[in-house]
Amino acid sequence: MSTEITIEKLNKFYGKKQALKDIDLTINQGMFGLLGRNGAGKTTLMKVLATLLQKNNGNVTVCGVPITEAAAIRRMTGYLPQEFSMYANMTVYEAMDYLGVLSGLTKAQRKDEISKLLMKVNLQKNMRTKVKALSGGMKRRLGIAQAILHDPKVLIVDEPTAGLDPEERVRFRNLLSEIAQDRIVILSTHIVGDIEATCENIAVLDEGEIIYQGTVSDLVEAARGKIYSAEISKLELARVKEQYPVTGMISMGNLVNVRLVADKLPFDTALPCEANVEDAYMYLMYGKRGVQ
Amino acid sequence: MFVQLFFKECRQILKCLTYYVLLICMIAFFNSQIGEFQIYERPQPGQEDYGIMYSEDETVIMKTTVGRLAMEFFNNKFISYPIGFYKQVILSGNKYEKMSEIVSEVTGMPEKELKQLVENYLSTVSLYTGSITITTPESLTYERFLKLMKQADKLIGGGSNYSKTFMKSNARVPKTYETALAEYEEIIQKDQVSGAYARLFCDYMGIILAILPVFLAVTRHLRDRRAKISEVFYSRSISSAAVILSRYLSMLAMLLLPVLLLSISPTIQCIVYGNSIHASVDQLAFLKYIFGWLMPTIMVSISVGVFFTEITETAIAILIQGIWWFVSIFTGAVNINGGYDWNFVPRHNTLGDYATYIDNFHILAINRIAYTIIAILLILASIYVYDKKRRGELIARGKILPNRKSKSKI
Repeated sequence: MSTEITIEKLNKFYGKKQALKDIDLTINQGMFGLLGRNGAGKTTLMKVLATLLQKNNGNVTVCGVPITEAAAIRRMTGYLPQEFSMYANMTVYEAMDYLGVLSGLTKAQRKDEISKLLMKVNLQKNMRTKVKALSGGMKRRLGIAQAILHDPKVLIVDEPTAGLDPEERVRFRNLLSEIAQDRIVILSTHIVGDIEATCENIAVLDEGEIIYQGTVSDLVEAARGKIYSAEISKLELARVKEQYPVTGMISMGNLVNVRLVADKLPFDTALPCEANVEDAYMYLMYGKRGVQ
Repeated sequence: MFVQLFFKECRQILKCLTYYVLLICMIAFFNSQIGEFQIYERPQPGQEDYGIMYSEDETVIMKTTVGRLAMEFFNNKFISYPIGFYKQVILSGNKYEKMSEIVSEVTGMPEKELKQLVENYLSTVSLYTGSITITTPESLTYERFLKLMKQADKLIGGGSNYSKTFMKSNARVPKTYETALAEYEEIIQKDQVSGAYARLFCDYMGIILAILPVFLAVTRHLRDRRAKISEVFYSRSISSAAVILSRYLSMLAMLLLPVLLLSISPTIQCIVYGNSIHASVDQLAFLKYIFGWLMPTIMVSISVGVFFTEITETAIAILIQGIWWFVSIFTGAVNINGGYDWNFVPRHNTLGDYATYIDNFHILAINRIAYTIIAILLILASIYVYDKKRRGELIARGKILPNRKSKSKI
């Protein structure tokens, strides 16, 4: 049985606005990152894959099953929306149990799986805690647990780390990587750090189009020699920002250490430096769209 | 799986504040209307009062109706209930003249003489009680009388005391011992004691059960939206039919439960009384009436709540059901003693009257079946809407995709 998601010429319209344009993508087992700005079409693509939105045209198959077979897709897919919540007056266990019933699990299956999963997401001590009493990070971990409760082949996670503190974010990324060992996990985010820490393969969406598809290292490689740093006066900062995409700034008294993207040496005092994923992403966006 | 979900939904209802508010309303209404449940004792000869009844004697109907018409004509204030609401009509010009002609014909007196008669009557009573009766001319046949009353009703605008529906209520006469005894025997023999009380129970409880369930349905279905969990639910493998039906049936069960509990006390009273007079008691009467009479009402009220909340994701269903309830209650006033018709809230606001119930049973049965079908159709439509929403083909407030952008971000 196929263990990949294939997307061919996928288009999605909202009225006259085209949200997805001729998307061609193949997603294999493991973590897959979907990167793009807010409004790029990431959520639309995720919802199409989760059968929550209908495509207008194109072919999509999930592990060999056409996306039009919603019931079959839902059985093999777990979905964590950006804003996950549950009934506030339910306890963590009750919420999982309720969602387990909605996924067709028997009582015995639920009993086994819920305990295991809550342990996996480190919520075993919160089984009797009401959902309304959970912190943002705990809620997100509960979200992951419910999404994999029925042991799906595919896990779709939309902007999971938004609003989490750094510690929770790292914990969450690690959890996703662990889960991705035996299934496809699609991580949609506009936070480059999440992708850098977890994904080998990525796609970058912009205005509904795939503008990059490949490995993270290839993306970084493409930006090699295009990233510079320089110490400039604060008075010059506005002019530099107008001319080049700036990926980082550190203020030092009257001076600012800027990190910027440029095709060639921008000025004499600038020094070439190693590109990271964030720089590479900015270089990609700059190159494709001329966006700063 | 469905059964497990059903019980989980029942548990959810038990945690819902709205449910307890509805229970309080239901119990308060029961107590205020039928709380002090009294068994109708066997009438004894020589009793001071046996109650009142509506005569079917044509002469009595004519006398009392003409008396009322004379009084209203004298005051030129005609009471009517055109769509169930009280309305006072004052006639003038041509309409007044026509009414004067009708009044003269049914009383056999010219206008001046009639007014003098009424004035004399009013001077003899301290407070008008509406009991004036006027003997109609011998030449006036009952058919002609009915025709004239129809014209009078039309002049007033319909729904008056001279309409076919209300005319019977003019002929209020004291009940005789024989009539009271016959009614009692009918309750004991034909209704097997409990049947008569079960009908009265349904009459009252139907009023409140036509409106309360919609609140529970709206609260339950808006809860997903409030908690922002629709997408998590939509992405699960369970069928849309299972989701909607489990919620629907759990609400139905949880609303029927208190009604059944409230019927226990009157059932026991009926059984105890029946045993005391060695009469056979239908112990399942309340159960049968509740399922046959009240359940369709509850089903419709929940269905309206589910359907309109699913399609609009607002509480508009409460307004829709509220209007329907209001109109039903007021229009139902014309058949308050058991005409049933197509009214959503069929009335039988009288103890006993088995004959009316049996005579109109087929109407009541069709009525209840029709409303059950409406409820089922609304639930099927709700399943369809829910399924469309799950697939992103229909979004909030009834808008259809794919030509609309959803509220979610791209």
